[in-house]
Amino acid sequence: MTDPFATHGIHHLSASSLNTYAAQPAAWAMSYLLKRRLPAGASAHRGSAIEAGVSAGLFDPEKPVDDCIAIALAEYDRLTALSGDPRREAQRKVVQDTVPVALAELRQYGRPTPPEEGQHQHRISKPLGEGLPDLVGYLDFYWQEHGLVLDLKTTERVPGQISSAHARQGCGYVVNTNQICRFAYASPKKIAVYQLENVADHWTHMQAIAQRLKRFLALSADKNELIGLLVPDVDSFYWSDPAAEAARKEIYGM
Amino acid sequence: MGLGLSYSSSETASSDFLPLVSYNAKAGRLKYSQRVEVNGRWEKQEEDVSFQQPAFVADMENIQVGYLFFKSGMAPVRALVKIGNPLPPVPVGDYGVDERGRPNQPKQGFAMRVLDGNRTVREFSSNAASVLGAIDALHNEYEAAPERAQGMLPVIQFTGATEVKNKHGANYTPNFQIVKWVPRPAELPAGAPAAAVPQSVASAAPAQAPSLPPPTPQAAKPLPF
Repeated sequence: MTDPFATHGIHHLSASSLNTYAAQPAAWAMSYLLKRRLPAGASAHRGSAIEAGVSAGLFDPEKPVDDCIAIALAEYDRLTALSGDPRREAQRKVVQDTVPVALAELRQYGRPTPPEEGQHQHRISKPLGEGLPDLVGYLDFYWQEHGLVLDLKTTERVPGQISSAHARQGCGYVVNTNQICRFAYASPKKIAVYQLENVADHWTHMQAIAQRLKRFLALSADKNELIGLLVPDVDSFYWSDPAAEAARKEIYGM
Repeated sequence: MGLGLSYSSSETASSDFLPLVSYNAKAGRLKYSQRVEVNGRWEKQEEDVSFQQPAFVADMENIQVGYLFFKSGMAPVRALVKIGNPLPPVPVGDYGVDERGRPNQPKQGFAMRVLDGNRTVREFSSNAASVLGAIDALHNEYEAAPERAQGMLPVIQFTGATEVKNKHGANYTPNFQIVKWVPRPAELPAGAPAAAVPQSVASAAPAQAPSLPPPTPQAAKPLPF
């Protein structure tokens, strides 16, 4: 029997891919089936920029916080140079204010374990199960001495707990190991660091999503036929970027 | 020789107050713990050292074997004798019931003094089958080694844990290995004469890492499955 993933040129899965399929299949199909990547909005660039500044401050504990902020802002300006997101300026201020909040908390953990030479991040690859591609991911920060993987999430409002989608993402980092995973939710005003529990249960959920995606792909080898089965939720944040909205209208006609 | 495990409450009380090394087979984590006085109250301090891959001199000559019972909220039950002696009877008592409703009983275990990389004498004890197997293998290696005849002690290093699945779920077997042999240090007195402190032991352990800050408590939330 033909592998539906291979038929559609999908050779590995990611937490982002599976979470997108779970939340907004129309957005998943556009990104991963048609390979029309949704433009990252200013919020996503904000996260990357803050991570750059925080990373600089963690790997060099003596680096002044102002220097880390400057690194984050420079990265944000680079990433958003062509962004049409109306929130671009507002998010720049979030970047500036969040970096010191995150550093104050995370510098307590010590210097993270650097990735292997020549790599920018620690790469992980986990088998999802028979007949499924491996799950591939990259760790934000890893402390070998603590056995700790930490994923930094930036937000304008710190949540009270780890979301289900984030839990599914984190479980892939540590499942079948004796390591722990934490999520740091950093805002311009505060930070909360939550520890992921029930890893095996979240992993089972992740495997179930992958199985269902496989069944969906098995319906047809014709991408357009699969697209024709889906309806986008036009109110979803997946379409908030103007370019993403335009692509949605082009592909789905709505 | 294997550990030939079994025990009685004949050991010294002083060992109860040593800082401890403990291994959680369910999580695959090695911890150092000690009781410290804070504002007039005794508190337990724990440090997860699993990923520091600590090394310590192990007093395998005087390892104690027998029966141990650990339960949160009650003093450990110990019936131990020096290895090589007949095992003591299993301690009898009311130890409650396990999660399947069966009466709890002390299990075969061991207790061993070790000297860590910071020159702190600790007691490493466990009654977990996965730990016993690992220590038994080390003890066999110790007994067969020519260094033992010279009165030396092994420096054993915790190098990680291996997941083992059985009908009760997943456990992690600790991985230990003998990385060198040293003369018996003064901190671990025994029949053998005290020897020069093994300087190499201190260097075998990495620099102290910052302790892991506690996570933020999460709001209660039902699982999505």
